[in-house]
Amino acid sequence: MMGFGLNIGKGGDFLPSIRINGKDGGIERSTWDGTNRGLEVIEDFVALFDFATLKVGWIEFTDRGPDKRLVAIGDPLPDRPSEKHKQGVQVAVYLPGGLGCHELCSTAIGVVAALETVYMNTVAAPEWDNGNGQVPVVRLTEFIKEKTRHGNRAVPVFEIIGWNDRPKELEEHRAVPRPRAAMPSVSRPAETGSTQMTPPASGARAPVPDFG
Amino acid sequence: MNPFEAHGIDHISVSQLNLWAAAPGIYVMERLLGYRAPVGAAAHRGTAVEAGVLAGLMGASLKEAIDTANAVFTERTALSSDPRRDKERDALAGMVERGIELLGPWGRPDRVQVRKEWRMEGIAVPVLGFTDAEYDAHGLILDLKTTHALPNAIRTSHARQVASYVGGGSNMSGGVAYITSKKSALYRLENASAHIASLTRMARSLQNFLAISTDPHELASLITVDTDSFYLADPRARQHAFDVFGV
Repeated sequence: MMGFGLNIGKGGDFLPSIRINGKDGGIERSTWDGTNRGLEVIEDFVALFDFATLKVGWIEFTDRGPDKRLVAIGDPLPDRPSEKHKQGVQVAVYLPGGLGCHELCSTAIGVVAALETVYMNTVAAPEWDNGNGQVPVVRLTEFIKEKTRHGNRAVPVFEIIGWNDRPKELEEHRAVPRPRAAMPSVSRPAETGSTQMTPPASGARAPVPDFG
Repeated sequence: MNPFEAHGIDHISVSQLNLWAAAPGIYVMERLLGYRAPVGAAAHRGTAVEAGVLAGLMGASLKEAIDTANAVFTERTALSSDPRRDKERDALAGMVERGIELLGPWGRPDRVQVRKEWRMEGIAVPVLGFTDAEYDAHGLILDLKTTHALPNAIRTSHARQVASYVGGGSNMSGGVAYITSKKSALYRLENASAHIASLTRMARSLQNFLAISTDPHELASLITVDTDSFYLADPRARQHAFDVFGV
Protein backbone atom coordinates (compact mmCIF):
# COMPACT_ATOMS: atom_id res chain seq x y z
CA MET A 1 0.00 0.00 0.00
CA MET A 2 1.29 3.43 -0.86
CA GLY A 3 1.65 6.24 1.66
CA PHE A 4 1.56 9.85 0.58
CA GLY A 5 2.02 10.02 -3.15
CA LEU A 6 0.88 13.73 -4.33
CA ASN A 7 -2.00 16.17 -7.16
CA ILE A 8 -2.79 19.84 -7.89
CA GLY A 9 -5.96 20.42 -5.96
CA LYS A 10 -9.09 22.19 -7.04
CA GLY A 11 -8.71 24.96 -4.47
CA GLY A 12 -11.96 25.06 -2.58
CA ASP A 13 -13.28 27.42 0.02
CA PHE A 14 -11.09 29.10 2.58
CA LEU A 15 -10.90 27.18 5.81
CA PRO A 16 -9.70 28.23 9.26
CA SER A 17 -6.54 26.36 10.13
CA ILE A 18 -5.30 24.00 12.78
CA ARG A 19 -1.70 24.66 13.77
CA ILE A 20 0.35 21.92 15.34
CA ASN A 21 3.58 23.07 16.94
CA GLY A 22 6.01 20.43 15.78
CA LYS A 23 8.84 21.94 17.75
CA ASP A 24 7.49 22.45 21.25
CA GLY A 25 4.14 20.67 21.13
CA GLY A 26 0.72 22.20 21.46
CA ILE A 27 -2.11 22.80 19.08
CA GLU A 28 -4.10 25.89 18.18
CA ARG A 29 -7.07 26.80 16.05
CA SER A 30 -7.35 30.01 14.09
CA THR A 31 -10.50 31.96 14.88
CA TRP A 32 -10.41 33.90 11.61
CA ASP A 33 -14.00 34.80 10.77
CA GLY A 34 -13.26 36.82 7.68
CA THR A 35 -12.52 40.05 9.58
CA ASN A 36 -10.84 39.29 12.86
CA ARG A 37 -7.81 37.11 13.32
CA GLY A 38 -7.07 35.18 16.45
CA LEU A 39 -5.75 31.93 17.84
CA GLU A 40 -7.33 29.62 20.36
CA VAL A 41 -5.47 26.86 22.16
CA ILE A 42 -7.10 23.45 21.94
CA GLU A 43 -6.62 21.40 25.09
CA ASP A 44 -8.16 18.13 23.92
CA PHE A 45 -7.93 17.86 20.17
CA VAL A 46 -10.49 15.46 18.74
CA ALA A 47 -11.65 15.72 15.13
CA LEU A 48 -12.91 13.81 12.12
CA PHE A 49 -9.92 13.37 9.82
CA ASP A 50 -11.09 13.07 6.22
CA PHE A 51 -8.22 11.69 4.20
CA ALA A 52 -10.38 11.88 1.07
CA THR A 53 -9.46 15.58 1.21
CA LEU A 54 -5.76 14.88 1.54
CA LYS A 55 -3.39 16.82 -0.65
CA VAL A 56 0.36 16.60 -0.75
CA GLY A 57 3.06 18.66 -2.33
CA TRP A 58 5.24 21.70 -1.68
CA ILE A 59 4.52 24.36 0.92
CA GLU A 60 6.32 27.51 2.00
CA PHE A 61 5.09 29.26 5.12
CA THR A 62 5.67 33.00 4.74
CA ASP A 63 4.66 36.12 6.65
CA ARG A 64 1.98 36.65 4.02
CA GLY A 65 0.60 33.18 4.47
CA PRO A 66 1.44 29.76 3.10
CA ASP A 67 2.31 29.24 -0.57
CA LYS A 68 0.95 25.79 -1.39
CA ARG A 69 1.53 23.72 -4.53
CA LEU A 70 -0.54 20.70 -3.67
CA VAL A 71 -2.04 17.78 -5.52
CA ALA A 72 -4.44 14.97 -4.63
CA ILE A 73 -3.00 11.58 -3.76
CA GLY A 74 -2.54 9.71 -7.00
CA ASP A 75 -1.42 12.66 -9.11
CA PRO A 76 2.23 13.35 -9.90
CA LEU A 77 3.99 15.84 -7.63
CA PRO A 78 4.50 19.28 -9.14
CA ASP A 79 8.02 20.61 -9.53
CA ARG A 80 9.50 22.13 -6.41
CA PRO A 81 8.88 25.87 -6.78
CA SER A 82 11.88 26.97 -4.72
CA GLU A 83 14.42 25.80 -2.19
CA LYS A 84 12.25 27.36 0.51
CA HIS A 85 9.33 25.11 -0.29
CA LYS A 86 9.20 21.93 1.79
CA GLN A 87 7.25 18.78 1.23
CA GLY A 88 4.05 18.83 3.22
CA VAL A 89 0.49 17.68 3.49
CA GLN A 90 -2.93 19.21 3.98
CA VAL A 91 -6.10 17.53 5.15
CA ALA A 92 -9.54 18.83 6.09
CA VAL A 93 -10.65 17.97 9.61
CA TYR A 94 -14.02 18.50 11.23
CA LEU A 95 -14.16 19.79 14.78
CA PRO A 96 -17.03 19.08 17.16
CA GLY A 97 -19.12 21.67 18.95
CA GLY A 98 -20.25 23.45 15.81
CA LEU A 99 -16.70 24.50 14.90
CA GLY A 100 -16.88 22.59 11.62
CA CYS A 101 -14.26 22.20 8.92
CA HIS A 102 -10.69 23.27 9.45
CA GLU A 103 -7.55 22.75 7.47
CA LEU A 104 -4.59 20.95 8.95
CA CYS A 105 -1.45 21.73 7.01
CA SER A 106 2.13 20.96 7.93
CA THR A 107 5.63 20.45 6.65
CA ALA A 108 7.08 19.41 10.03
CA ILE A 109 8.62 15.98 9.61
CA GLY A 110 7.26 14.61 12.88
CA VAL A 111 3.76 15.90 12.21
CA VAL A 112 3.69 14.61 8.63
CA ALA A 113 4.93 11.20 9.80
CA ALA A 114 2.22 11.08 12.47
CA LEU A 115 -0.43 11.98 9.91
CA GLU A 116 0.90 9.34 7.56
CA THR A 117 0.55 6.71 10.27
CA VAL A 118 -3.07 7.57 10.93
CA TYR A 119 -3.66 7.78 7.16
CA MET A 120 -2.31 4.27 6.63
CA ASN A 121 -4.44 2.92 9.46
CA THR A 122 -7.48 4.69 8.04
CA VAL A 123 -7.27 3.45 4.47
CA ALA A 124 -6.65 -0.10 5.71
CA ALA A 125 -9.80 -0.08 7.83
CA PRO A 126 -13.01 -1.60 6.45
CA GLU A 127 -15.00 1.40 7.70
CA TRP A 128 -13.10 3.61 5.25
CA ASP A 129 -14.36 1.59 2.27
CA ASN A 130 -12.02 3.16 -0.23
CA GLY A 131 -13.08 6.66 0.81
CA ASN A 132 -16.78 5.99 0.38
CA GLY A 133 -17.46 4.86 3.93
CA GLN A 134 -17.00 6.54 7.30
CA VAL A 135 -14.26 8.87 8.49
CA PRO A 136 -12.13 8.25 11.57
CA VAL A 137 -12.59 10.11 14.84
CA VAL A 138 -9.02 10.98 15.77
CA ARG A 139 -7.68 12.16 19.12
CA LEU A 140 -4.29 13.73 19.72
CA THR A 141 -3.21 11.72 22.74
CA GLU A 142 0.22 13.18 23.42
CA PHE A 143 3.35 14.78 22.08
CA ILE A 144 6.58 12.84 22.25
CA LYS A 145 9.44 15.27 22.75
CA GLU A 146 12.70 14.50 20.99
CA LYS A 147 16.03 16.19 20.62
CA THR A 148 17.51 16.06 17.16
CA ARG A 149 20.66 17.57 15.69
CA HIS A 150 18.40 20.26 14.28
CA GLY A 151 16.89 21.07 17.69
CA ASN A 152 13.83 20.03 19.64
CA ARG A 153 10.97 18.18 18.03
CA ALA A 154 7.49 17.36 19.31
CA VAL A 155 5.94 14.43 17.53
CA PRO A 156 2.17 14.18 17.89
CA VAL A 157 0.58 10.81 18.53
CA PHE A 158 -2.83 10.37 16.93
CA GLU A 159 -5.24 7.61 17.82
CA ILE A 160 -8.35 6.52 15.96
CA ILE A 161 -11.02 6.28 18.67
CA GLY A 162 -14.06 5.69 16.50
CA TRP A 163 -15.74 6.18 13.15
CA ASN A 164 -18.38 8.63 12.04
CA ASP A 165 -20.42 9.31 8.94
CA ARG A 166 -18.80 11.99 6.79
CA PRO A 167 -20.45 15.41 7.27
CA LYS A 168 -21.61 17.06 4.06
CA GLU A 169 -19.24 19.98 4.64
CA LEU A 170 -16.25 17.68 4.22
CA GLU A 171 -17.51 16.43 0.86
CA GLU A 172 -16.91 19.90 -0.58
CA HIS A 173 -13.21 19.55 0.09
CA ARG A 174 -12.70 16.12 -1.42
CA ALA A 175 -9.46 15.96 -3.42
CA VAL A 176 -9.92 14.13 -6.70
CA PRO A 177 -6.89 13.05 -8.70
CA ARG A 178 -6.91 13.77 -12.38
CA PRO A 179 -8.13 10.90 -14.55
CA ARG A 180 -5.48 8.36 -15.38
CA ALA A 181 -5.31 4.89 -16.74
CA ALA A 182 -6.15 2.26 -14.14
CA MET A 183 -3.31 0.12 -12.94
CA PRO A 184 -4.13 -3.51 -13.64
CA SER A 185 -3.92 -5.92 -10.75
CA VAL A 186 -2.05 -8.51 -12.78
CA SER A 187 1.50 -8.25 -13.96
CA ARG A 188 1.22 -9.45 -17.53
CA PRO A 189 -1.24 -9.21 -20.40
CA ALA A 190 -3.85 -11.96 -20.53
CA GLU A 191 -3.44 -14.78 -23.01
CA THR A 192 -6.04 -14.70 -25.77
CA GLY A 193 -6.37 -18.41 -26.46
CA SER A 194 -4.51 -20.82 -28.73
CA THR A 195 -6.34 -24.06 -27.91
CA GLN A 196 -8.09 -25.45 -30.92
CA MET A 197 -11.69 -26.49 -30.38
CA THR A 198 -13.14 -29.64 -31.81
CA PRO A 199 -16.84 -30.34 -32.11
CA PRO A 200 -18.40 -32.80 -29.65
CA ALA A 201 -18.73 -36.29 -31.10
CA SER A 202 -22.49 -36.19 -31.01
CA GLY A 203 -22.86 -32.46 -31.05
CA ALA A 204 -24.14 -31.98 -34.54
CA ARG A 205 -27.87 -31.47 -34.52
CA ALA A 206 -28.23 -30.69 -38.19
CA PRO A 207 -26.85 -32.53 -41.16
CA VAL A 208 -23.50 -31.33 -42.40
CA PRO A 209 -24.02 -29.31 -45.57
CA ASP A 210 -23.46 -31.10 -48.81
CA PHE A 211 -19.91 -30.43 -49.97
CA GLY A 212 -20.36 -32.17 -53.27
CA MET B 1 -23.81 16.18 -21.53
CA ASN B 2 -21.25 13.40 -21.32
CA PRO B 3 -18.02 13.52 -23.39
CA PHE B 4 -19.35 11.05 -25.95
CA GLU B 5 -22.62 12.88 -26.50
CA ALA B 6 -20.67 16.12 -26.86
CA HIS B 7 -19.16 14.56 -29.97
CA GLY B 8 -22.37 13.02 -31.26
CA ILE B 9 -21.48 9.50 -30.13
CA ASP B 10 -24.38 7.55 -28.61
CA HIS B 11 -22.64 4.16 -28.44
CA ILE B 12 -19.24 2.61 -28.91
CA SER B 13 -18.14 -0.72 -30.37
CA VAL B 14 -15.18 -2.95 -29.71
CA SER B 15 -13.86 -2.29 -33.19
CA GLN B 16 -13.98 1.45 -32.46
CA LEU B 17 -12.05 0.91 -29.24
CA ASN B 18 -9.54 -1.25 -31.07
CA LEU B 19 -9.11 1.55 -33.61
CA TRP B 20 -8.71 4.09 -30.80
CA ALA B 21 -6.00 1.91 -29.29
CA ALA B 22 -4.23 1.17 -32.56
CA ALA B 23 -4.40 4.59 -34.20
CA PRO B 24 -5.89 7.44 -32.14
CA GLY B 25 -5.30 9.90 -34.95
CA ILE B 26 -7.28 7.80 -37.39
CA TYR B 27 -10.05 7.51 -34.81
CA VAL B 28 -10.25 11.29 -34.51
CA MET B 29 -10.07 11.74 -38.26
CA GLU B 30 -12.77 9.20 -39.07
CA ARG B 31 -15.06 9.17 -36.06
CA LEU B 32 -14.95 12.76 -34.83
CA LEU B 33 -14.24 14.71 -37.99
CA GLY B 34 -16.07 12.40 -40.40
CA TYR B 35 -13.20 11.95 -42.86
CA ARG B 36 -13.90 8.33 -43.70
CA ALA B 37 -12.00 6.67 -46.48
CA PRO B 38 -13.70 3.92 -48.47
CA VAL B 39 -13.44 0.48 -46.90
CA GLY B 40 -10.93 -1.73 -48.69
CA ALA B 41 -11.69 -4.96 -50.53
CA ALA B 42 -10.26 -7.01 -47.63
CA ALA B 43 -12.98 -5.77 -45.30
CA HIS B 44 -15.66 -6.56 -47.85
CA ARG B 45 -14.15 -10.02 -48.29
CA GLY B 46 -14.69 -10.61 -44.59
CA THR B 47 -18.33 -9.54 -44.77
CA ALA B 48 -18.94 -11.63 -47.87
CA VAL B 49 -17.34 -14.82 -46.53
CA GLU B 50 -19.20 -14.43 -43.29
CA ALA B 51 -22.49 -14.20 -45.16
CA GLY B 52 -21.64 -17.28 -47.21
CA VAL B 53 -20.47 -19.41 -44.29
CA LEU B 54 -23.47 -18.50 -42.16
CA ALA B 55 -25.78 -19.32 -45.07
CA GLY B 56 -24.11 -22.70 -45.37
CA LEU B 57 -24.38 -23.39 -41.65
CA MET B 58 -28.08 -22.50 -41.77
CA GLY B 59 -28.72 -25.09 -44.48
CA ALA B 60 -27.72 -23.68 -47.86
CA SER B 61 -25.69 -25.89 -50.16
CA LEU B 62 -22.01 -25.13 -50.65
CA LYS B 63 -22.72 -23.68 -54.10
CA GLU B 64 -25.47 -21.48 -52.71
CA ALA B 65 -23.19 -20.36 -49.87
CA ILE B 66 -20.41 -19.41 -52.28
CA ASP B 67 -22.90 -17.63 -54.51
CA THR B 68 -24.09 -15.67 -51.48
CA ALA B 69 -20.53 -14.62 -50.70
CA ASN B 70 -19.90 -13.61 -54.29
CA ALA B 71 -23.10 -11.61 -54.45
CA VAL B 72 -22.32 -9.71 -51.25
CA PHE B 73 -18.78 -9.03 -52.39
CA THR B 74 -19.88 -7.81 -55.80
CA GLU B 75 -22.49 -5.54 -54.29
CA ARG B 76 -20.04 -4.06 -51.80
CA THR B 77 -17.17 -3.57 -54.21
CA ALA B 78 -19.08 -2.48 -57.32
CA LEU B 79 -17.53 0.96 -57.18
CA SER B 80 -14.27 -0.01 -55.50
CA SER B 81 -10.98 0.95 -57.07
CA ASP B 82 -9.01 -1.19 -54.63
CA PRO B 83 -6.35 -3.04 -56.69
CA ARG B 84 -6.73 -6.05 -54.39
CA ARG B 85 -10.35 -6.54 -55.36
CA ASP B 86 -9.80 -9.43 -57.80
CA LYS B 87 -7.41 -11.22 -55.45
CA GLU B 88 -9.98 -11.01 -52.67
CA ARG B 89 -12.75 -12.22 -54.95
CA ASP B 90 -10.64 -15.25 -55.96
CA ALA B 91 -10.26 -16.21 -52.30
CA LEU B 92 -13.99 -16.19 -51.54
CA ALA B 93 -14.91 -19.72 -52.61
CA GLY B 94 -12.07 -21.39 -50.73
CA MET B 95 -12.75 -19.40 -47.60
CA VAL B 96 -16.46 -20.23 -47.62
CA GLU B 97 -15.69 -23.91 -48.11
CA ARG B 98 -13.08 -23.95 -45.31
CA GLY B 99 -15.48 -22.13 -43.01
CA ILE B 100 -18.29 -24.61 -43.54
CA GLU B 101 -15.88 -27.53 -43.17
CA LEU B 102 -14.69 -26.10 -39.85
CA LEU B 103 -18.01 -25.17 -38.35
CA GLY B 104 -20.42 -27.58 -40.00
CA PRO B 105 -19.70 -30.37 -37.49
CA TRP B 106 -20.90 -28.06 -34.70
CA GLY B 107 -24.37 -28.18 -36.21
CA ARG B 108 -26.79 -25.46 -37.11
CA PRO B 109 -26.34 -22.31 -34.99
CA ASP B 110 -29.31 -21.37 -32.83
CA ARG B 111 -28.83 -17.74 -33.75
CA VAL B 112 -26.67 -15.74 -36.14
CA GLN B 113 -25.87 -12.03 -36.20
CA VAL B 114 -27.13 -11.46 -32.66
CA ARG B 115 -27.17 -7.88 -31.41
CA LYS B 116 -25.38 -7.43 -28.09
CA GLU B 117 -25.65 -4.28 -26.03
CA TRP B 118 -23.91 -3.89 -22.69
CA ARG B 119 -22.43 -1.22 -20.47
CA MET B 120 -19.00 -0.73 -19.01
CA GLU B 121 -18.63 0.60 -15.51
CA GLY B 122 -17.96 4.31 -15.60
CA ILE B 123 -18.55 4.70 -19.32
CA ALA B 124 -21.41 6.97 -20.33
CA VAL B 125 -22.55 5.18 -23.49
CA PRO B 126 -23.35 1.51 -24.19
CA VAL B 127 -21.25 -0.89 -26.22
CA LEU B 128 -22.90 -2.44 -29.26
CA GLY B 129 -21.83 -5.44 -31.26
CA PHE B 130 -23.07 -8.43 -33.23
CA THR B 131 -22.06 -12.03 -32.67
CA ASP B 132 -21.68 -14.19 -35.77
CA ALA B 133 -23.13 -17.42 -34.42
CA GLU B 134 -24.41 -18.81 -31.13
CA TYR B 135 -24.82 -22.48 -30.15
CA ASP B 136 -26.91 -23.09 -27.05
CA ALA B 137 -26.17 -26.81 -26.83
CA HIS B 138 -22.42 -26.17 -26.86
CA GLY B 139 -22.60 -22.97 -24.80
CA LEU B 140 -20.57 -21.32 -27.52
CA ILE B 141 -20.48 -17.87 -29.08
CA LEU B 142 -18.42 -17.62 -32.26
CA ASP B 143 -16.81 -14.88 -34.21
CA LEU B 144 -15.67 -15.53 -37.73
CA LYS B 145 -12.49 -13.95 -39.10
CA THR B 146 -11.06 -14.28 -42.57
CA THR B 147 -7.40 -13.82 -43.27
CA HIS B 148 -4.76 -14.82 -45.78
CA ALA B 149 -2.40 -16.14 -43.08
CA LEU B 150 -3.72 -18.44 -40.38
CA PRO B 151 -2.70 -17.21 -36.89
CA ASN B 152 -1.70 -19.74 -34.23
CA ALA B 153 -3.64 -17.96 -31.48
CA ILE B 154 -6.48 -15.48 -31.16
CA ARG B 155 -5.36 -11.95 -31.91
CA THR B 156 -5.81 -9.60 -28.99
CA SER B 157 -8.23 -7.29 -30.76
CA HIS B 158 -10.36 -10.30 -31.69
CA ALA B 159 -10.18 -11.68 -28.15
CA ARG B 160 -11.59 -8.39 -26.86
CA GLN B 161 -14.40 -8.57 -29.38
CA VAL B 162 -15.49 -12.09 -28.45
CA ALA B 163 -14.99 -11.38 -24.74
CA SER B 164 -17.43 -8.51 -25.04
CA TYR B 165 -20.03 -10.91 -26.43
CA VAL B 166 -19.38 -13.63 -23.89
CA GLY B 167 -19.25 -11.35 -20.85
CA GLY B 168 -17.09 -11.72 -17.79
CA GLY B 169 -19.34 -14.01 -15.80
CA SER B 170 -21.27 -15.71 -18.57
CA ASN B 171 -21.77 -19.46 -18.81
CA MET B 172 -21.13 -19.24 -22.53
CA SER B 173 -17.62 -19.71 -23.85
CA GLY B 174 -16.20 -17.87 -26.79
CA GLY B 175 -14.33 -18.94 -29.85
CA VAL B 176 -12.76 -17.32 -32.87
CA ALA B 177 -12.86 -19.16 -36.19
CA TYR B 178 -10.01 -18.12 -38.48
CA ILE B 179 -10.46 -18.99 -42.11
CA THR B 180 -8.06 -18.74 -45.01
CA SER B 181 -8.75 -20.11 -48.47
CA LYS B 182 -6.68 -23.20 -47.62
CA LYS B 183 -6.74 -23.65 -43.83
CA SER B 184 -8.92 -22.96 -40.85
CA ALA B 185 -8.81 -23.15 -37.06
CA LEU B 186 -11.23 -22.56 -34.23
CA TYR B 187 -9.57 -21.29 -31.04
CA ARG B 188 -11.16 -21.15 -27.62
CA LEU B 189 -11.14 -17.70 -25.98
CA GLU B 190 -9.27 -17.50 -22.68
CA ASN B 191 -9.41 -14.88 -19.93
CA ALA B 192 -12.60 -13.15 -21.04
CA SER B 193 -12.76 -11.05 -17.86
CA ALA B 194 -9.25 -9.74 -18.36
CA HIS B 195 -10.03 -8.70 -21.92
CA ILE B 196 -13.18 -6.94 -20.80
CA ALA B 197 -11.12 -5.13 -18.16
CA SER B 198 -8.74 -4.01 -20.92
CA LEU B 199 -11.65 -2.83 -23.03
CA THR B 200 -12.97 -0.82 -20.11
CA ARG B 201 -9.62 0.87 -19.62
CA MET B 202 -9.48 1.66 -23.32
CA ALA B 203 -12.97 3.14 -23.17
CA ARG B 204 -12.01 5.26 -20.17
CA SER B 205 -9.01 6.63 -21.98
CA LEU B 206 -11.24 7.54 -24.93
CA GLN B 207 -13.80 9.12 -22.62
CA ASN B 208 -11.10 11.13 -20.85
CA PHE B 209 -9.68 12.24 -24.19
CA LEU B 210 -13.07 13.34 -25.49
CA ALA B 211 -13.63 15.29 -22.28
CA ILE B 212 -10.69 17.54 -23.04
CA SER B 213 -12.62 19.53 -25.62
CA THR B 214 -15.90 19.58 -27.50
CA ASP B 215 -13.97 20.76 -30.56
CA PRO B 216 -12.68 17.77 -32.56
CA HIS B 217 -10.11 19.96 -34.29
CA GLU B 218 -8.63 20.84 -30.91
CA LEU B 219 -8.48 17.14 -30.08
CA ALA B 220 -6.80 16.49 -33.45
CA SER B 221 -4.18 19.06 -32.54
CA LEU B 222 -3.16 16.93 -29.56
CA ILE B 223 -2.13 13.90 -31.61
CA THR B 224 -0.86 12.92 -35.03
CA VAL B 225 -0.80 9.89 -37.33
CA ASP B 226 1.67 7.39 -38.72
CA THR B 227 1.52 8.13 -42.41
CA ASP B 228 2.90 4.69 -43.26
CA SER B 229 0.01 3.04 -41.46
CA PHE B 230 -2.14 0.68 -43.52
CA TYR B 231 -5.07 2.80 -42.38
CA LEU B 232 -3.76 5.44 -44.78
CA ALA B 233 -3.01 3.10 -47.69
CA ASP B 234 -5.91 4.52 -49.66
CA PRO B 235 -4.83 7.80 -51.35
CA ARG B 236 -8.02 9.48 -50.17
CA ALA B 237 -7.36 8.53 -46.56
CA ARG B 238 -3.79 9.77 -46.95
CA GLN B 239 -5.11 13.10 -48.23
CA HIS B 240 -7.54 13.33 -45.31
CA ALA B 241 -4.66 12.80 -42.90
CA PHE B 242 -2.75 15.60 -44.54
CA ASP B 243 -5.78 17.87 -44.42
CA VAL B 244 -6.38 17.18 -40.74
CA PHE B 245 -2.91 16.73 -39.30
CA GLY B 246 -0.71 18.45 -41.88
CA VAL B 247 1.60 15.46 -42.18
